[in-house]
Amino acid sequence: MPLKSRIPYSYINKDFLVLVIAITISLVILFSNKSPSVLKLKHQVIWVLGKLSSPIYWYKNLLIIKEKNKLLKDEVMRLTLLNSEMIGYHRENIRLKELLNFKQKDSISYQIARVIKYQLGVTNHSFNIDIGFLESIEKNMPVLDENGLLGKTIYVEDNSAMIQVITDKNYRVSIRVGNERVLGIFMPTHGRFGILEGVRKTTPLLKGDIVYTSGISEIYPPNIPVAEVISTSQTLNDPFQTVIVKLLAELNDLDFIFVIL
Amino acid sequence: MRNKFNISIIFFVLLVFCIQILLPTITFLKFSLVPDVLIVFLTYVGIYKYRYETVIISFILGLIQDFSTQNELLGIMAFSKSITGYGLGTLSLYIDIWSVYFRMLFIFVIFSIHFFIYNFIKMNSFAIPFATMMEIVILNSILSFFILLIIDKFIMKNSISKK
Repeated sequence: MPLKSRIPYSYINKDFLVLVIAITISLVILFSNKSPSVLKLKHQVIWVLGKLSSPIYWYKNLLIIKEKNKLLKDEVMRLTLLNSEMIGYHRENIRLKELLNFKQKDSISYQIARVIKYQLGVTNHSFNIDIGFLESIEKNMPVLDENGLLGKTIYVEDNSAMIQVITDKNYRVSIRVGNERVLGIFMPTHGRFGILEGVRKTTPLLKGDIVYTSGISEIYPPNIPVAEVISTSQTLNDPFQTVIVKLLAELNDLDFIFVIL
Repeated sequence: MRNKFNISIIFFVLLVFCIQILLPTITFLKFSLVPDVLIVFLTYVGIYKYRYETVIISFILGLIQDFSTQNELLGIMAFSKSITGYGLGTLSLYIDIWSVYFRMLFIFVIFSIHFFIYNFIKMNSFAIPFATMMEIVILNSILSFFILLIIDKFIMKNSISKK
């Protein structure tokens, strides 16, 4: 064998390479378990990685903050105008409710949290946030971003919590959709897409219709936007229609999220 | 011959694995301890084989141990034994350089690291004090180290503890 072709291999540390491969395979197997020990270990690893990488995120955030600020100012202006319009509607709504003798519902309270961006595990999707028990966070609290439902808390410690993302294959949400507000179940399929199960064939649905939480579940309050309808299709033998939806929550660039208390 | 996996290593793996399965649990100071013969075997693999071979054998043994002993934490033994294998594989590189006391200390530290990783992950979800966990780690390490000394003295002709 010519010397040239041997040289690249001589630089490879075979011992270390084998160790890395063995550790990687073991960790993949270990983290694919669902036991409480592994869940806690996963949480601890994510927490440590998050702490270690926080300077990098701080630096990255610094770079994009100007651009984000400009966009936010635009958004603030738009929302201010919208708000003034909504205040009018709100007053009108109160007056109409009084006329109809409706009971006042409590407004939803929430906590803002910063996302520690790390995902571990083979099949499940999760991330950590920097608030926990001490900020009144508990297990099974809904988590949103500014666009819609993002997931729920599945593991909580004093100063951090683990969030199960709505794209997790095991995730299910009871929803209402369409002008008739019919009930259905949201199931994630791939990436930001999912399907609605149990929506009757006779329910008229349009592309762009927003899917909201039904409020039937003990976890999610009603009327949280979840997804928008992308397409619908029907088959002869099935009493339900197939509704494909796209999640509203932004999953790729998470920074701050809201936990509903 | 040294760098080839031969039939004898497979025989020894099976033998050690059978011994490991048959070993009883020892109750000492309210703790249940199971002697880990596999780690003793890996110490000798570390001396007589290359380091990467030791890592491979450790990983495979760990994986078999995982699948044969429990199903909640699959991969935990493969993980801890791979790291242990790398540490014990280092023995072959420095066996003639290190003094016997340093060699022994090194093996004991590697044993402790192995049991620490295993117990740390295993007891992660239980409210067990760190000191108690360390007691278990040290007791397990001492037990395995004691077995190693006996085997080295009476079966392996002081191959580790030779001056």
